[in-house]
Amino acid sequence: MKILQNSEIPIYKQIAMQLKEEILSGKLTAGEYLPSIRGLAKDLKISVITTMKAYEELCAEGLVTSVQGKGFVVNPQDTAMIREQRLREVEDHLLEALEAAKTIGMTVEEVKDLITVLDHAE
Amino acid sequence: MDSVIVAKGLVKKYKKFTLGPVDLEIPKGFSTALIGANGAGKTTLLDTICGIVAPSAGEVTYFGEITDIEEGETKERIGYLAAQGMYPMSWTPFDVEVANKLGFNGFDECRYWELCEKYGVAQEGEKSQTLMKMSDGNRIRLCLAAVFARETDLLVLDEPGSNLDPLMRDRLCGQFREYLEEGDGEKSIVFSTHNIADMENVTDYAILMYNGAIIETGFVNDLCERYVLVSGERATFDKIKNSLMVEDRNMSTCFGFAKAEAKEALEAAGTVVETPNLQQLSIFLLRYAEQQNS
Amino acid sequence: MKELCWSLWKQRWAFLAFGILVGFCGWMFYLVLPECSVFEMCYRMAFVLLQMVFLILQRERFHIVLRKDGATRFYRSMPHAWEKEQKRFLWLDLFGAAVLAVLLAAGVLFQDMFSEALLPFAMVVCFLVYMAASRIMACVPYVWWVLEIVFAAVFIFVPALDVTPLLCGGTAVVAGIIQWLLYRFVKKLWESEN
Repeated sequence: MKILQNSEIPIYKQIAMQLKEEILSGKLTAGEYLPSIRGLAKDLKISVITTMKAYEELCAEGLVTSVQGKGFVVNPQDTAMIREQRLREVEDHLLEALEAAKTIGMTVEEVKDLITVLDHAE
Repeated sequence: MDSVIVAKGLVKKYKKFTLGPVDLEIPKGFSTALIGANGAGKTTLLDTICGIVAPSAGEVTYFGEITDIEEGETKERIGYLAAQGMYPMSWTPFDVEVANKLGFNGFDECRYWELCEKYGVAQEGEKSQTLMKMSDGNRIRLCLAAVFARETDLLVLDEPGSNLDPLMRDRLCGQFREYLEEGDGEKSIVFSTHNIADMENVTDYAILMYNGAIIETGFVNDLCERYVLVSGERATFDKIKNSLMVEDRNMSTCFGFAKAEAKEALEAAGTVVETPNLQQLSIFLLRYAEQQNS
Repeated sequence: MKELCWSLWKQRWAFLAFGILVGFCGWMFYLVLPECSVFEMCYRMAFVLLQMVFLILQRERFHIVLRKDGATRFYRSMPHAWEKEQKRFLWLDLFGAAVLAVLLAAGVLFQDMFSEALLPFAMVVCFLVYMAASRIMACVPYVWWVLEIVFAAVFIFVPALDVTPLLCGGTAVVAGIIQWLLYRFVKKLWESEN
């Protein structure tokens, strides 16, 4: 896990985001347990309540479930549904970008080129 | 919330100072910070809870069921450490080992010497340096080694970080996290501090004290979200005066502190608001308490 | 055993100081009562010296050490501290009592060797007063110096305790009650608020 100590993004959010990535990409499989909240807190040198909040957020999003006495277990993910969700997110963001582009008079070709440049920069 | 200690109506009267009546709960499996200025009553509260002094009134329940701290092995399960150490100055690390072995069943000498070495206090061969000759920091490290070497379910530490250098304080925080991990939700820590910034990243639950009373408690994230820090121009501040608990004005800017409910109104008035961290929250709440008192 | 040696070693200066004091008293006694036999003098010295040893060792009790050095918090954080203390020093109390009992018996058996009549009851009284004094001393460390000196002086310089058995018995009972009350008072003192 990569954590930035002094980022604007609160640590619990960073943890939640990275774990979410790992779950959705399949690195963490269904039925696998996340590290214990206290173990993770120890490794990342943060308070227990921070890891707990991160895990609770994942719980709220349906990615993990809390099991009494054992920890947090990864839920099986519906990949088709996730892809559908993500596709919709991409569509929304692109629509926004296109609208903004129109207001300054950019053409669709210019937008496509910009996308390529940005991808290379990544 | 599962609580390791529940206190109701706790009172302790001294000649010049009265603590309470105080109601509090210490959550199980977490690290709780008792925050307050010197003289707020933190030591008195911890002493009363640990049976060091008898309370004038009120009752305390330990580990969910025990109501008398002298009963059974309750004191055995509590690892108490007084501020500035608690062994006679004429003692050596060897005397501390003997005394702890005599007084407590769960004391592990090997672990004690391991920790002494880890904290840079004394090697097995250097057992003969008296506490008087040690620096304050070293003395506290020795006391910490002794308390961590015991098998306990609750650690109660009075100002453990105050006399430590930043590196040792960091080690101490690491030790706290290890302790909580070992316990896996069954072990808890309570510590007092007058400087929460040093221990903020190991604090899960906070209890703020002022002048013998508890002014706020809660898990850190919930607690901080109940309040907002406000910043704005002088003119705006004149408008929102009544919504603010504490104000701080100067030539460059105006800072304020208010309850989170007032957030929308404050933003609408043209200020910027944000959630405080624990350090900021403590400072402002203590200032507010001071204001109310004068 | 290791603990006993540690305790004795820690108190070495107290032993030395008191040994000198008692030796001096004994010498004065010898000068003041020249008709007293060497045996009797040695006997009286032994009685007082042993008493002193046990009283000094009593000072090793945790609640004295810690109270003297302002470290009562550590003591109070211990579970069943008082009971542990009593148990830990039980061997000392029993051993002390056994040795004194032997001395008493010797005093009775060899009373012909004493220049004055040493009534057994008087010895019992002394023994019980010692027990009471040791309890006081175990709890209030500075008083013990005064009591010990007074006690030693009385025993060394007062040649015969010429009292009737009834008075002796009565005194013994009172001494016992005082001891019990002191014990309870001190226990309460240590368990109550600071």
